[in-house]
Amino acid sequence: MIELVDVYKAFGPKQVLNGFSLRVERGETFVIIGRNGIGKTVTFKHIMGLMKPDRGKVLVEGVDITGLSNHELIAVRDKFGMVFQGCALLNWLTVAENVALPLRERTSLSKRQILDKVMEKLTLMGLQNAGHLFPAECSGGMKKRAAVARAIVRDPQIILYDEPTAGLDPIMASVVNDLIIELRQKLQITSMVVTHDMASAYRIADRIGMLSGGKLIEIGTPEQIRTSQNPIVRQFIEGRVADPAVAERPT
Amino acid sequence: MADSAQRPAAAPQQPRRGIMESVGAAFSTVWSAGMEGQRGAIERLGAGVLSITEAVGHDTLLLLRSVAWSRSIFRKGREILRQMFLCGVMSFPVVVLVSIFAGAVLALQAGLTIRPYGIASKIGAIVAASMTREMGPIMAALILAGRVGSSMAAELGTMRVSEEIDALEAMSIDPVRFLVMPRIVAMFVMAPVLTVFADLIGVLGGAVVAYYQVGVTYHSYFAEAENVLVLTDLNSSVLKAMVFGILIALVGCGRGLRAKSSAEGVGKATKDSVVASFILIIIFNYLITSIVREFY
Repeated sequence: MIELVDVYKAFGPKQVLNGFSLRVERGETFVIIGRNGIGKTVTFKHIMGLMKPDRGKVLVEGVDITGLSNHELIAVRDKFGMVFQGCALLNWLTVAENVALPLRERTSLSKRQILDKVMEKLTLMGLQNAGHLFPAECSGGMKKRAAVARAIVRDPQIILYDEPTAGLDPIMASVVNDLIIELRQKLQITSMVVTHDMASAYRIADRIGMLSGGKLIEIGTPEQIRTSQNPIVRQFIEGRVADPAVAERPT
Repeated sequence: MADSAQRPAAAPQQPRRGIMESVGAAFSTVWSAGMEGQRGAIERLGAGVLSITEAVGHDTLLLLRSVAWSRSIFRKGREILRQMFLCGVMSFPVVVLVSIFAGAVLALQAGLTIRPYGIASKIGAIVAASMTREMGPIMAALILAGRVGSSMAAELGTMRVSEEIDALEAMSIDPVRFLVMPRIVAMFVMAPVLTVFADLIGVLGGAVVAYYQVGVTYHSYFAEAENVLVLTDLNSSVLKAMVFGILIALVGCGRGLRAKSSAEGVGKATKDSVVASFILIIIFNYLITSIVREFY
């Protein structure tokens, strides 16, 4: 479904992805964990075709998207929905208008059809009464749910979640986690999640990959990651202050 | 004995440099510093030229893509109207205020200068010609660059920082079609409207001052204004405003889209958009005036 093969990406002198490889199967929920600034969001942007790697391949359903033109990438991106870390809702549009945006701009559906679809997704997210609110009038949890509603409104095959529970209280984080599980169960959506929240990762993941030094240093089921003996993984999941023996070398 | 014990041991003597050696060393230091400074200056100059070339290239492509997307003008009608309101209607009070006083001070200065020669009635001609040919378009454009261009740069820069531009691209929505084209169209339409108002209100402001402070009747003021103005003046004013409108929107959107992902980046984009717009307005004003005078 999604495959990254030996991907390299540098920003100036900083090597962010350094031989990154990963394969995610259809219907799977894959969680990437790792420290801040380690390249998790950059990985997502490569998968969406928003960034091109310096070297390596990014395959979506077997097609290498690294050489595609912007026009060809549109067809690839139509398979995706993405929930951004800060929600990225347009602040001059209401919640309903934000959710309707991909339909209004990218399909030829009638106003009635768009409205029905938007209400369906808002209801799924528990936002049926919040469609008229502007993002500035919404709580963090509502914004996050609105962002998820916008990501799924075109029924994508793959959803990428960038820190879906960041900044949410534990109860709202549980709501979002349930939502991700529910979407996978109901719609058979392939999901990739980037998070620091280990409780969330254990709960939603089929597999977890630890990103360090520009590549996945360990991949396993939640149980395998929980019991991993890799010192970098242990340091991260236990939240220990850097031990010089296992501190990541600067890239 | 005690004295000699307290006396510090003599420091080993450095070998003394000859005068020529010292001069040579000093010259070498100054020369190296000069070369270093020159290299730094050349590097800065090169970086500046590269940066300007990149900005011009980026903005030219942005304009071409916006022109290509103008086929969606009716689908984006609502957004264009919203931008016309924000750019044009909201700028109207400032343009009115500045134009009144610009016309007034022009009339006052012209009146005081020419009254001793007994041709005070010519104030109308001077104010009308100055406002319509140069001051109206320039003033409206500078106000729009400061008020609207900077706000476009800040808005799009903030959208870049908060990943809203990335979100649009992720939804396969071209930010040029969605954000830039409506702003350029709105400014293309509203800048001439504001400029014509600026011309008109400036002339009216001048009339009031001419009447009360210089003693010229309204009738002779407007008769002189009417005599001096030709249709070319108005056409030139509107043409300038259209070009300025496009430039302001283009520079504002271009700087915003290229803003670095930080608060500082947004601030710099905003500042750069105002400076670049001001410079372009002044240069293009001269070019358009030259071309119009050449052909009419």
